Amino acid sequence: MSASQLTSIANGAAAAGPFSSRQLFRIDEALTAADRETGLTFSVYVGALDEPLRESAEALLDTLPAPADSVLLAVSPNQRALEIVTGHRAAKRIPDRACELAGMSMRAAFQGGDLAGGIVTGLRMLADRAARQGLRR
Amino acid sequence: MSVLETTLVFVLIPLAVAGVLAMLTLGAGSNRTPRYRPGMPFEFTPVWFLAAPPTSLSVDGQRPALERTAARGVLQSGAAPEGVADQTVTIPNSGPKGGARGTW
Repeated sequence: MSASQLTSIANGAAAAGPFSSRQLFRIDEALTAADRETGLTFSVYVGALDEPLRESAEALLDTLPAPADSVLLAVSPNQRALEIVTGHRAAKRIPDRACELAGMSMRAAFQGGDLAGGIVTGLRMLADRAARQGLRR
Repeated sequence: MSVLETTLVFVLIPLAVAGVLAMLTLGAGSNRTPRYRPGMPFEFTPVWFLAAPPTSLSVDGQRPALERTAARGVLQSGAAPEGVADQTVTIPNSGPKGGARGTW
């Protein structure tokens, strides 16, 4: 994948993607809100993952600028697989059980063919959890 | 009512209404954006979304949002970039990670 494809919504990279502009807007909104509410870096990858899926999703997270404070939602529609990866500091704020719960909601949406809806739901649930955890401290 | 009027009211008008409805539904369906359906092959370019980091995104949007992922040899899923297949770039592992996984 070339660098030009690894761009954000602001670059209009998803012109050839599966999302309409309205869906892109919703994802962008959810991402921005999640980042702002939690101080973590959320990112969403939609595309094929190499085998083994978990390791390649973790490698994707490691390429982010601050992997320890990042959360990656990797969705591979062809493999029908979802990987939620949290960096080690992010994992303290979002326990694995919360990730499981978000993952279940996302998978339910994906089963219905709603990629964007599932992604937005997952982002909101994870961000809610991290924001609550932050308030408690 | 003459035969002509009867035909007009009971045949042509319903046909016209049905035609308009058919055009609206079929026409709207043809220009809809392609969407994902479970089980169908997903042939879109992989996309990676970040909330646009203002510091690393140039005004014209030409520079990559993620500087480190633009480094030579850093590759994601898919084919290896041209000319760098024999070079290995190691990305430091950020330590233990949490999360969840699943399939649908």
